[in-house]
Amino acid sequence: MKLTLHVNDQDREVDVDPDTPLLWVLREDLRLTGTRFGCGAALCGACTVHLDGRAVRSCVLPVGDLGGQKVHTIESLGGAHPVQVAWCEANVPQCGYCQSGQVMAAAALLASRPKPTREDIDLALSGNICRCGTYPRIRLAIERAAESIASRAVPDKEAP
Amino acid sequence: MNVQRRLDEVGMACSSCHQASNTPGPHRPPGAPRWGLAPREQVFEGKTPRQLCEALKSPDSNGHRTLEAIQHHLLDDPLVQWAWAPGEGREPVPVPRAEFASAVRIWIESGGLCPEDGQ
Repeated sequence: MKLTLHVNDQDREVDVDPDTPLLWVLREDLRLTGTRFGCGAALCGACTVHLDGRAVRSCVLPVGDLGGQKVHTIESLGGAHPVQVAWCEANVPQCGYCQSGQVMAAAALLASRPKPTREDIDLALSGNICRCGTYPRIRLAIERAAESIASRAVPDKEAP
Repeated sequence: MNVQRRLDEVGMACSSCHQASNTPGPHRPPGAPRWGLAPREQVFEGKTPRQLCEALKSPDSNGHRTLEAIQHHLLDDPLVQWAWAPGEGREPVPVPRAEFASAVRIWIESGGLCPEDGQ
């Protein structure tokens, strides 16, 4: 079945079974290989992408169910997103396999809650598993990214 | 996955993992239209039959449903019907659907009375 997907701000045509998980279409058809396969059962978070800004598990999302919703993958962050900058500065990754999912979950958190508490961070990332145990650095990087975003925010009103 | 109610406040939603139908394969995420947890007020554990009955009927805790709407919810809502088709690797609820439906109809048609505690 021919489908038009809205991925990373582009319309992309694919010819796939509508039951195919989005993850496979991203990786195999669109060659966007930054998103990882981990468990294939929405348990580990390695395949996290954004769907209309929300973090979703692409390994269990049938591509035929997307409708007109907008997909953003790790490639769309561009490398200079505050989360990615903070990630590098804090040397978060160890083996790196889960990290694109971690970064996407963190970006979704900061988009919905720019000044998250430590509890917010732990909750939002609780479904993203890192077998290297980089959790303390993930938390640190998210706190730094939040500070970076806050410092760059334009004030509501100019000071007199 | 540490599923909690507050996840929707931090960039995730039930639909982050749960689709409109069960994901194929054993123990994969269950799914139904409008998947979600019941409100805290509808937690069954620790309630007497009367308290449970009153919670089911209270508009403040049942989504402002009338008795008729409760019947519709219990017998027709796809999310409730999922309990009898929970997907590969899961057992359906122990009460057969027809028996459940019959009991709901009898209860609603007789006015939805709540039992006294101890009954």
